[in-house]
Formats: sequence, C-alpha cells, structure tokens
Amino acid sequence: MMRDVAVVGVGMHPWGKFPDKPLINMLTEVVEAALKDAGIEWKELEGITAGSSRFSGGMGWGLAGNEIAQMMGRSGIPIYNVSSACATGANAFNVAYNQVASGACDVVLAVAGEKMPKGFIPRTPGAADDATDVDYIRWKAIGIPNPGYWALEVTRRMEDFGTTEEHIAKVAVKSHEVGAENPLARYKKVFTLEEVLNSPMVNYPLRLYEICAVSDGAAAAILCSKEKAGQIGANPVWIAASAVATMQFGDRQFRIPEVSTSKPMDSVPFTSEVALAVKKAFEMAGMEPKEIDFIELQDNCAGHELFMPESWGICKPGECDRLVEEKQTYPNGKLPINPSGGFASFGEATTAMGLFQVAQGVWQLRGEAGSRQVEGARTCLLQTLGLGGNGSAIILKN
Amino acid sequence: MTDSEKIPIIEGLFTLDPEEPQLIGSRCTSCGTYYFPQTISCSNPDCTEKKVEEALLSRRGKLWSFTVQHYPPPPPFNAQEPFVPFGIGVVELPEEVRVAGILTESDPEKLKIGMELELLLEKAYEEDGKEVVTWKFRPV
Repeated sequence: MMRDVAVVGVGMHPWGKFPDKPLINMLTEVVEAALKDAGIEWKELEGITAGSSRFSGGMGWGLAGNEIAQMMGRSGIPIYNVSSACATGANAFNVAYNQVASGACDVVLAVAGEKMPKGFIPRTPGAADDATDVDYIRWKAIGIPNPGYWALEVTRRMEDFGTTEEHIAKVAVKSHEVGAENPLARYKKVFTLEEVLNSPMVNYPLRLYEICAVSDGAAAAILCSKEKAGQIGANPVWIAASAVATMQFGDRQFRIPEVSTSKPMDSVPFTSEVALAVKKAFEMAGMEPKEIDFIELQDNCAGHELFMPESWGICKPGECDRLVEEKQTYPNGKLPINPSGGFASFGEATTAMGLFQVAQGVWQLRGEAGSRQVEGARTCLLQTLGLGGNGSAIILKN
Repeated sequence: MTDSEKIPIIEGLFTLDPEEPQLIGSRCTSCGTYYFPQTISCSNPDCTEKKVEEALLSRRGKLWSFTVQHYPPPPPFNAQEPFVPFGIGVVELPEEVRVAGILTESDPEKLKIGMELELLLEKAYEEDGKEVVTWKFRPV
C-alpha cells in the first residue's frame, strides 16, 4: 500500500551564468530555501536524493548529495545520487517519492544543481574515437549538433501537419513574453514575431530564438508523508503521480546522439520514454488528460510545445498548431504550456530541470505565480526527457 | 590523386567501392533487424538469440526528414573555411533502418520528404596529402 506524499517546500536559484559562484553555494542556498519553505530543520531529513552532473560538482563521481550533506549536516542519513541526463531532477524526485510512499522515510530532500560549460556540450571524456561510439560518428562524420536533431523533428512535422515556421516562432514569442515576467528567469526580453523570424537560422527550420541555451541553475523540493505534513503544519501540494520510463524498440524518434533508427514502427509512441512515463502517470493519478490545468514541458526547442502534448494524447495530432494560433497556450489560455517561461527563458541546467518544474508547479498550485498565474489551477503535468532514452512525468495537485 | 589515396573518415562504416560504396551495418540473424553502425547485440526486447552478422545496406532510400546546418559544427568535425551551410538528412532504407548523413543538396526548397536519394562517397577534407572521404546522400 503506497502512502500519500506531499511536496511541502521548494527552493530555486535564479538561472543564468554565475561564473563567480561555486555550485555548492547554489545547492546549499536552494536546500535552505526549501527547508525554510517547509518549516523544518535539516536534522529532520531522513534521506536525500540528488542529481548527478557530468559537468560540475559531486567530487567527479556525481556525489552531489554527499557534498551537500558534508556541508550542511553529517547526520548519517541515506543518500542516493541519480543520473539520467536531462531527466535527472525528475528521477531524483521519483526516488524520493518512492522512499516516502513506501514508508521507508517520512521526509526526503530531492535536490539538483549544475553549472554548464560554455557553448557546445563537449564529448564525454574517455569515449573511443572510433566506429563503436555513435556520438563520435555524429560529430566527426555528420557534424550534427543537438539542435539539428530537434530540427529533424520539426521538418518532419511541417510535412505531416502543415506546421509553418510561423507556428514555431509564435511558440517562442509566447515563451519569452511569459518568461519575462518570471523573476528567476535568465532571459527577460520580449520578442516580436518578426524578430524571432529574423533571428539567425541555426538548423533549418529552427532559429536562434527558438532553441534553448545552457545555464547554471539549481532547485530543491522537500517531500513528506501525509502524517508528517500534518505535524509540521505544512501547506502541501500533493503528488498525484511520479513516473519514470525508458525508450522502446521501434520508436521512430531520431534521437541524440544516434545516427540511425532501426525498425521504426507506427505502433510505438513517438518519443516513447516520455509517452510511457506520461501514460503511467495518468494511470497512477487515476486522471484523464483533460483534467490537467497546465503543463510544464521540456522545450529544448519551440517545436516541443507542439508535438509533445499531442504524443501524450492531451491534444489530437496536429491540434497544437491551432492552439498556438489562438494563443491558448498562454497562462490564461485553454491549455497553458510552460507558464514559467520554460527553458526558452531559463536555459537548461540539465540535471536540475525536473526539480525546476516541481518548484514552478508548486508555486502555481499555491497561487503564488503573480502575473503568470494560471487562474484556478488545481493540477499540473511536468515532463522531462534525458539522453539515453530517459523519460519522466510528474502530476501535482492541490 | 589516385583512388588508393582515399581514406575513410572513420574505419568500418562503409566500403570504399569507387562505383557503388555501401554502408556497413549489422543484421540480427534471429529477428532480421538491421543496425547502423555495426553492433554487438540486438536491441529488440522480443529477440532472444541476439546474434548479429555484418550486413551491407542498400544504397538507395527515401528522405524521411532533413535540416540545414547553418553554422560550423565544433571539432571533431573538420569544418572547411569559408564555411558553407550543408544539408543533413535522414534516409529510410529498404532494410527498415533510417540512416543520417550529409546531403549534397542544402536548399530546403529543393529537398522534399519522400524523395529518392542515393549514397555516394565524397571528400570531407584533406589530411597529410590524402583525401578523407565520408558518405553522403544525393537526390537521384
């Protein structure tokens, strides 16, 4: 029998570039903020699940949780360091959720933070420079960067549904307009449709203002049991579901960093790791897609806001273009998407993104999102997608 | 320059046949799934035997999707100067495998999803007086 689990506190660092600030300072700040928000002390924590980064911190072993505990309190509690690329934060959240839901712990901290290298994400150190490594092949022989893969998806969508460059640009206009209102966002500049359409072409049909940058960022959440939430007098947001999945054979998504897709099948959902996680989340929550009041999804490019909700059955195939035309994905629309401003406005601090979404979701459900508030929001769906076929979905409700 | 001075950009990805070069992949001897590049196992979860053998892939296929690379990719890609944007396509081969490669065409107006393309080898760059070749796809 799984127990009810609540998020009782969240903390988030502003996202951007902080060259003079060590990662550990960013991490301890978000943990302190989350503890304060929950109204509990460090020593009340019974476990930590933390995101492992390949770029920063963790003593080079991805031991972010241990570093935090060494700094903030050596209380002997179990620490799990989780690694699943861009899905890391949500997967750390999932481990924390299961710790509490199973009864193993009453209060668990989920935390992740990262300082990203400047510019291109470099190749993994130690990988072989030969035909056995597809990442080497894609860089050396084809030269396709990550936005190139997102562009392939968008070009294909343009063929399948008649999506235009203008649809993509309108998503970017919305994201920047909304993100400009978020005090924690890195980019707070509003762009006109013309400015987006005139920004430099990066990978046809994607332009500079339609793809997300890399950032430094950190976020944390305190999860606890219903009983404990009552004891501490918390203002809980409930976890209706936390689900994790991985990719399936036959998925037709052409995914980073691969150079081929074997036996693509229409019967397998597009970006199966995410579609499966979302499906599982709805089953866990006992909810229908129409019961979701807003979505925070991983917008590595503006096109993701179009095809992701469709591949989850929240919208019909091709329908998102019309929703964007009608401005229905704004915070005051029928299906608000990324009322935080999304990673278009924040940039990706890859391992922290799932917990970024939890913080943003919790603030919305508490009615604390200011001018970006989704009126009367009771539920939200949060989604991340990580390298290696890692998908994660969380449903929160108040 | 003679053909003997051509070297592949990465060993083991394609044959150097001057007329009809082919990509070298793998085929699962049990479930028949094709892979590129060569692999050591079969990722079909329903396949129990997972024995793979070397297999040459067809030279012709249909364009599944494409992009145009508008800025020089970072190393290890050897971007030539001055940089000229180039097309990158994903081509669906008869073996039910979609393979990425550089396209000889870079104008989106001239690229149509579903169009037939053919594999060829072209110079990527020169190194120590040798022509380093890579696979590309050109409209038929």
